Amino acid sequence: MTPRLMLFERSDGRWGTRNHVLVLPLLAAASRVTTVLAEQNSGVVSVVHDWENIPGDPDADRIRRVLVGTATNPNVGAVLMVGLDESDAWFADQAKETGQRVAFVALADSGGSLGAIDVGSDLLIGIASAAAEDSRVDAPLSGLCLGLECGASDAFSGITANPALGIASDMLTERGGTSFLAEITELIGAERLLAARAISPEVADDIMEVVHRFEQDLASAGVDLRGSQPAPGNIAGGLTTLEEKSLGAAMKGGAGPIVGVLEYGEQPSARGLHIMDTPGHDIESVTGMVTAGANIIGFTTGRGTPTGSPVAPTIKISSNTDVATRLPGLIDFDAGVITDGVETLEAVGRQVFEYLIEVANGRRTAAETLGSREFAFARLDPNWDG
Amino acid sequence: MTSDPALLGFMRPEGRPGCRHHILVLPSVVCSTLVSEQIAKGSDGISFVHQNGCGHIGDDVNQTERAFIGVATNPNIAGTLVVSLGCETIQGSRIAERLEALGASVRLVGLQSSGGSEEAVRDGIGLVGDLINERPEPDRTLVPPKDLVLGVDARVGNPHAVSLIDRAVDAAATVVLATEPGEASGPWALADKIILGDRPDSGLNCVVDSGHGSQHHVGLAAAGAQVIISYPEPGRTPFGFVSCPVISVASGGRLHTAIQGDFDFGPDTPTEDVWDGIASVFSGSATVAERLGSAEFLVPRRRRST
Repeated sequence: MTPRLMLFERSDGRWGTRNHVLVLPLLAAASRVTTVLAEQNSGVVSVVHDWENIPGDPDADRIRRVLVGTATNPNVGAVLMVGLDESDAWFADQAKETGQRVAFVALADSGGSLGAIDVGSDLLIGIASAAAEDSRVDAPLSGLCLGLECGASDAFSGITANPALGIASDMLTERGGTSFLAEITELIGAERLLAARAISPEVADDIMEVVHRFEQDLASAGVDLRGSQPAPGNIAGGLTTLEEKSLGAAMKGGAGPIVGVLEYGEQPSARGLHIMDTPGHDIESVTGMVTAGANIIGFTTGRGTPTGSPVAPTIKISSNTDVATRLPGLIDFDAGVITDGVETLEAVGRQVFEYLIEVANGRRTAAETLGSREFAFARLDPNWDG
Repeated sequence: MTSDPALLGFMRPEGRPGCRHHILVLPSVVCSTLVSEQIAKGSDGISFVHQNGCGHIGDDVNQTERAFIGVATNPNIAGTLVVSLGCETIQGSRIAERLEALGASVRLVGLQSSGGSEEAVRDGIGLVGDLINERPEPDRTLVPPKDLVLGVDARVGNPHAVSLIDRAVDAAATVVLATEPGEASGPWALADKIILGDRPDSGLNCVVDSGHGSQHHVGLAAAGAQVIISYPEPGRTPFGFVSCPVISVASGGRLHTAIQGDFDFGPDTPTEDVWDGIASVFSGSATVAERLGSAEFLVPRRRRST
């Protein structure tokens, strides 16, 4: 039996699991304005980021893609963009093209930050009341786009939470939905297993390439990835090597076919399971998947972590019952019952799928209750010259 | 010879005076920034949002640690609460240990070790209270100009900055420069080179590889600057900093004219007036950025995250 799914229908054909009013700074200098606006207006979400739009920044296009993609994520019912001057109206134009409700204010048109707060407040009231007209309607499972994430993993992650989330992801993609398996650093060593599941030789090549490209990029910089992976908490949690971490992390992607490989934040042109080029940094990874349209995140953890997304509900699935008991405010769903012998992996996988539907329908996650809205760009070259 | 306006600051046990008396709530990783913000809001602490602390490789690990430790040992900081997640690359416990070894008043709270976010917020608010009791705000006393450490964020050769640097050096203040990568000349070429987290010598210093834009402020604060003066380029915006007042001086360009409300001084302000303004801000006047609550902290990064 397929459970009933109720989502917000968007004019670009995508579906929202939430109907956020987002206040988005288009550059770091606008973060103060957006923070104040979010504090003064209940029910809106804002983000803080550190992009200054300095001429010559080689990552500028990548970051612009994230800003536009986040503003037009189907979970966003309306967006107020705060920019520097008229040139930033480009972002508003891009977002409007997708049918998004957009308001825009520039610091330079309002005398600076205080003026922009005044103008922005009025604009916000207008778009928020328009977004409030939206309501949930019956939606197909193909309307779900699931971002798969793991953070603060331990030795249980690869045998409980990750494979359970993988089963849920398979159930979703078998029913027409879309999933993203990201965090390339945490797929190193598992790439051949993934390539064997590609729907075509070309996709298999793309999978091998995206993993090797990441490894080579780090190697050419003369740094050893193993300095940061596994992270200190992973090691304390019993993970011994990067490859061991990867084989466990890849389990989030289930066992089904892989239909394509996406660049960071790139929107998929087909449904099904995709691999996305993101780092293992949880916030940068989730930000990339949300940019590409993920409207719900399944996030497994062994040690416990509070982070969420400004727009996508983020479900924390614990790999062990101990962490779910010690950190109950951080965990939504305990997959540790698998090793406790209480439930089978298959049964827990099905329960995770059902939980995804509940959250998609509006059930609040722990991260939403906490107000966790972390946001970070995955840069390629943060230290350019000139 | 012009006389120097009085500087009134807070004497610290280790000798360097501060111009603010802050308790810093320092998130060691992006994952603990929300809890840090909530602790700061629920107490008399200050905090900031950043995107660092995990997934770093190579120089970034060392550099980010130096940035955190340098800023936390700036004389404007009376005490620091380190807020850790627990599993991060830049381990909060290590930051706290190193701060303690440097003689700082420090406490540590971890999300994973304290039972979650709400528990960490509750514990953290209590620990900030302990720090405030341990280091109550003293009265301001007269600080000699030689104890001023002035951070200057300006493009190489900016004539207004050069004039101010000369004025500060004349007054025997220590000056720390930070600028965009590129050719140095004038004071930027003459300055002693230091790296992020180094303490400056008296006289003229320049933080090398201090990144771009408002990342410079981290290098200046980590060098112990109590006050930062910033000359944003014509197309760029002013920024505040979490724990140091930043005085922003506008250029005459179109953008700066349009957002003049975000600047402390206009483009043609005489050097002597800016110098007096520095003394006034040092002694307690709030900058525009402080009034807005602008609390940026952008760590220069070397490499992509992993």
